[in-house]
Amino acid sequence: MKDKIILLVEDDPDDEALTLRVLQKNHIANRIVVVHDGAEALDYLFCRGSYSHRDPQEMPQVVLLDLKLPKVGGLEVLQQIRADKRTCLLPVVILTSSKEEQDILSSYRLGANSFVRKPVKFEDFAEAVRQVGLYWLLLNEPAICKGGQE
Amino acid sequence: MRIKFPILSRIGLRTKLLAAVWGIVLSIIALQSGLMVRTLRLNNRVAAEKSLFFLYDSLGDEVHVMENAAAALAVSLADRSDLQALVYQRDRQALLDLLTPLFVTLRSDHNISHLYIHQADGTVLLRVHAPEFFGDPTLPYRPIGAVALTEQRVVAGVELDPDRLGVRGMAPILFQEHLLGLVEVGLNYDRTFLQDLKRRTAAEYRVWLSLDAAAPTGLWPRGDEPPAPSPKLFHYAATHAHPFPISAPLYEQVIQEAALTVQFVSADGESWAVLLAPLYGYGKRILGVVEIAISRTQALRTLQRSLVSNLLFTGGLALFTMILLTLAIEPIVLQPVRRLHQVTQRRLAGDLDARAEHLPRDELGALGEAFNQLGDRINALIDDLEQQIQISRQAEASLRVQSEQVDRFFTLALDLLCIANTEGYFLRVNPEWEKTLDYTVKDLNGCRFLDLVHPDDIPATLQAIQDLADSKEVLNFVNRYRRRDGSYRWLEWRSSSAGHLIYAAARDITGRIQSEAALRESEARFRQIVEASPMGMHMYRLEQNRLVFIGANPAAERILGLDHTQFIGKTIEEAFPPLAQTEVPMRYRLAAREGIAWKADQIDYQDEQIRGAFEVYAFQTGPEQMTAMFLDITERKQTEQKILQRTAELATLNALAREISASLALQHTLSVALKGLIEVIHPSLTFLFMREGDRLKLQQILPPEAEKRLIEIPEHRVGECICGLAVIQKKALYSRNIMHDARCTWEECKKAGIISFAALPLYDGEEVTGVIGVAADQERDFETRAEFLETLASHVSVALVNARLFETVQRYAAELEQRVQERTAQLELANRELEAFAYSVSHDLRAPLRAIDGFSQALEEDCGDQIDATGQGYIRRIRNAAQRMGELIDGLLQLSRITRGELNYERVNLSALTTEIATELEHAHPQRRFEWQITPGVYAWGDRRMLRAALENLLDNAVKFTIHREYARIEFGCVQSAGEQAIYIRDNGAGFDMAYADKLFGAFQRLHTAGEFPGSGIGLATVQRIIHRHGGRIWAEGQVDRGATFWFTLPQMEQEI
Repeated sequence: MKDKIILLVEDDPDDEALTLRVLQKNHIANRIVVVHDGAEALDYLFCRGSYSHRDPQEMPQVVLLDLKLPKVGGLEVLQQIRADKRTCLLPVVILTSSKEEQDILSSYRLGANSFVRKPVKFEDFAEAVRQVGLYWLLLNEPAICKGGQE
Repeated sequence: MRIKFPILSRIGLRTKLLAAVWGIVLSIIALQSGLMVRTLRLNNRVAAEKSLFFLYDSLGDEVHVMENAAAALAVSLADRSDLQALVYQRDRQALLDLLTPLFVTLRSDHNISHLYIHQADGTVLLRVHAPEFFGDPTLPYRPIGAVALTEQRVVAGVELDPDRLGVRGMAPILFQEHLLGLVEVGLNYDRTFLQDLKRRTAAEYRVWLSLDAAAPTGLWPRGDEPPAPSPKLFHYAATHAHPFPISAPLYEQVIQEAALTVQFVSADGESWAVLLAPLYGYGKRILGVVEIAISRTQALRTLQRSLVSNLLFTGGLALFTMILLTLAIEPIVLQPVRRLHQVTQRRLAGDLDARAEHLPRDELGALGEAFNQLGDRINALIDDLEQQIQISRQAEASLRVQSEQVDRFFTLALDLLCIANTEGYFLRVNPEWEKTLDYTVKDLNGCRFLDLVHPDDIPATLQAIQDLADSKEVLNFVNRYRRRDGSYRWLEWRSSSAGHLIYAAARDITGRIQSEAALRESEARFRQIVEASPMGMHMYRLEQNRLVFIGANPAAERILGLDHTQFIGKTIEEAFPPLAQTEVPMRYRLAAREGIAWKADQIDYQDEQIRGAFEVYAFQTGPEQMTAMFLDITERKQTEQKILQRTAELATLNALAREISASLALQHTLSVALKGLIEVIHPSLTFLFMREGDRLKLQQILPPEAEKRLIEIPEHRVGECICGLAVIQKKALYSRNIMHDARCTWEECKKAGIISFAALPLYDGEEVTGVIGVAADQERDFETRAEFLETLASHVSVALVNARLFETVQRYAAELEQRVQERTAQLELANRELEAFAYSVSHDLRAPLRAIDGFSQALEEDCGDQIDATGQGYIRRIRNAAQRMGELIDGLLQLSRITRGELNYERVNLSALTTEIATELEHAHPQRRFEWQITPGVYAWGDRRMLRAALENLLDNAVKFTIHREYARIEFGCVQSAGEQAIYIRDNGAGFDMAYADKLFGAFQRLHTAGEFPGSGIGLATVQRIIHRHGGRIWAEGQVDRGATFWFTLPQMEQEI
């Protein structure tokens, strides 16, 4: 069995580093794929562009998605994930600095599985990331079976 | 004069009548026979001539028939295509073969003599004829042939051959429009033909023919031999053996185209009628002479025979008629005469009732009737005579009775009767006198009546007696007689005299005289009333339906200021022409005729104003008489009219004022004003000019149909004409007649048919903004209504000013509205920008802080052993600062959200909210001890989320500032004061100095150091913003170390928002 993949969509290199640090510290030994904007995230998921040689069978266990992203926004990415048959059941956790009610509502409306605010205090942030990781990787049973097809 | 024939008188009636009838019938027969003989002779001659011409016409017709037959035969042949082909080929043998059988058939059927085919140049191509007919082969074709060839049509006519006469029909042979030649068909016309005619008409014929018509010599000298053919007379045919000698002039006459008849008596004594007439060939060419003769002798003989038989028949008829007459005389004439004779005999014998009966309805019957009437008349005369004798006997008896009756009447009469003499004495009086004068009849009989007469009446009485003595009748004479008591009675007399006797009848008229006096007195009184009455009176009499003025009283003259004597005898229409158009004459007539009284107010208007008004009473004052009584109520009516006008004016002005205050629609107000003006003033039209610079522009016209009248004047100019002058002079101008008004300088105004005019300027402050024009087609004085008109104009002015102000206000309002919209848009834009800003803040500002905090910890964890305690402290400070900054940002975001977000009002249970938050706070601070006092059932009307945020902040504050207490006592409750609910949250915390109470709610304002109590300094600002947004107030009370109380009010009910 291959490692479960976490797809981290994060444009801020600081947040990226901190997130990865937390995950490593907590021995979440999965493979973490980091993409830096919405377009790249979609390319990865749908095996397009620079990811066209990726094995389409290999789907991430969870997508950690920031909302404020260059090129294609997080909500747009979420919408496309839910619109595609291959990814419609993919767990997506919104991981963002925003606490705007509007963002929370929009995210859930578009089918986000969770909405986690990145706290300023690192301990809080670390705890949040750790719990997300544990939950989605270890506890949660994904709906997508091998091959991503029903 | 009478001629007497003694013999005739002796003959009987029967004989006379028969003789007369016979004589008349025989003379009629003789006369008729003579006339018949004469008529027959005349008729015979005319008939002979007529039949000669008839025969000549028949001859012509016969010839014409033959011509048509010849033409038809020629055409039928010429149209044959086989013939045409053969002619074209000039194949004579084939033609002969074709035509020979045809000729044989035609000869037997139509008696044709020959059949020729001519060529187009006139030469003969082929001849077909009978063996006995010898044509001349060298003869050129005949005149009709020439015509047929040149005109290419069918021609037929009588033609002469050298030795005979014939009818020729010529038809052109046309082959494809090309003339090939002619077909000639000849019919015989010669002796055989004449014989045939004679057989049919019983007349004799001779035909003389000549080749040269101009020189006929158709006469031969006397002799029995018919002339032989000669170069001139080449043909002769006759049906009669005996020729008649014809003289040369006669022949010449015939040649001149005049047919004539001649009577001949032949040598054997036979009488002949002969017609000599020209014989026409083709084209009216005379070929010769036809002679037709009829024997008259033979005809006359026939006629004489018929005359004799006629006479015999008439004589027989006459004989038969006379026999019938003879038989009829006896019953028709003689019998009635005999009956009359018998009746006469009976009457003479004394039978007066004898009458003639069974009378016929003729003259004899009338004679009998007259005889009967004569008898009746005689009988009637005898009856009359007997009656008269009877009457005269009765008269004698009645005379005796009469005398007694007269006496009886004398005593019974109601009138005073007397017989007196001319000396003055009563001879006999009737008992009525006793009653009247209270004297007995005995006293009065023989009394001298003059003694009883009133002394004043004696002379007149004497005169009356004298008149009677002169045998004059005295009628209606009146005098007074004294009664026994000395009083006098009036007596009216009717007397006549006979000799010296006076027969008189008198009547006591004292009562009548007295009542007449009373009547005169009352009349005088009545007259005085009439004369003195303040009411005018006109008296009329109806004469043949004409209402004639018979008088007026002084008051009438005074009131009307007229001399009424001039009207007497005139009709009402003549006397007062204006009344003729009114109902007055009719009403007066009704009053005079039917006695229907009438009362009315007669009002005379001029220029809408009352010129005169009368209250009129008309009533009957006698048969066919009436009086009209009138009172001058002009002043009263004028006052009434003024009041009414004023009321109407005020009503209009009032309505207009209401309209001005109620409506800002200028056009509507103007229309109301102009309509009101029309209703009150009744001008012909009214209109409105609005001023635009030095122009006056037409805005409205009423009534609308008057618009076309002003079509020429769509605008006026300031300073010109009356309207323009009104603007300049700033006052209303009135003109009774613009035609003669120097101020009216525009011809167009005059052409519009306006007479009177008023121009009413409209003002806005000092400035004239328009003019109302009021115009009338008749002369009127609008100035009398100046007050109303100018008030109305001032009202309209106000309306105009109002309308302008309203327009300005509306414009301002619109501008304001636009500005508000612009500001709103700007605000919305700013809000959106702020939102975007806030979003960026919440997202972007926090990321670096997280990085600072995160990497500080990473540094501490990974390189902690390389950093000393001071460095470790710095790292902690960095992390604290970053975390506080995070809290600040969160506080600011909340504040911003509260400012921006919409409020969703609902009823919120504040007590429940507080309890919820308190539980949360206890969980958040497990090491702390709390004492909560929460008043239940505190409700407010507001946005649940915001109110929760406010309570959170306040309770958070309370928890924070009570941290140094052993236990935190926090109260939540409310106080009702002045109808308002004040909610409070009280703690037992650090409190504050009231001196700084105003700084409590400012953002980032802190009364304590962060070291003492951590916090952003935004919480209370947020609370205040929330309370203010709900329309509430917030304030705080506190004392240092003695706790703080935060108060706020919120609306409780929906209505209070």
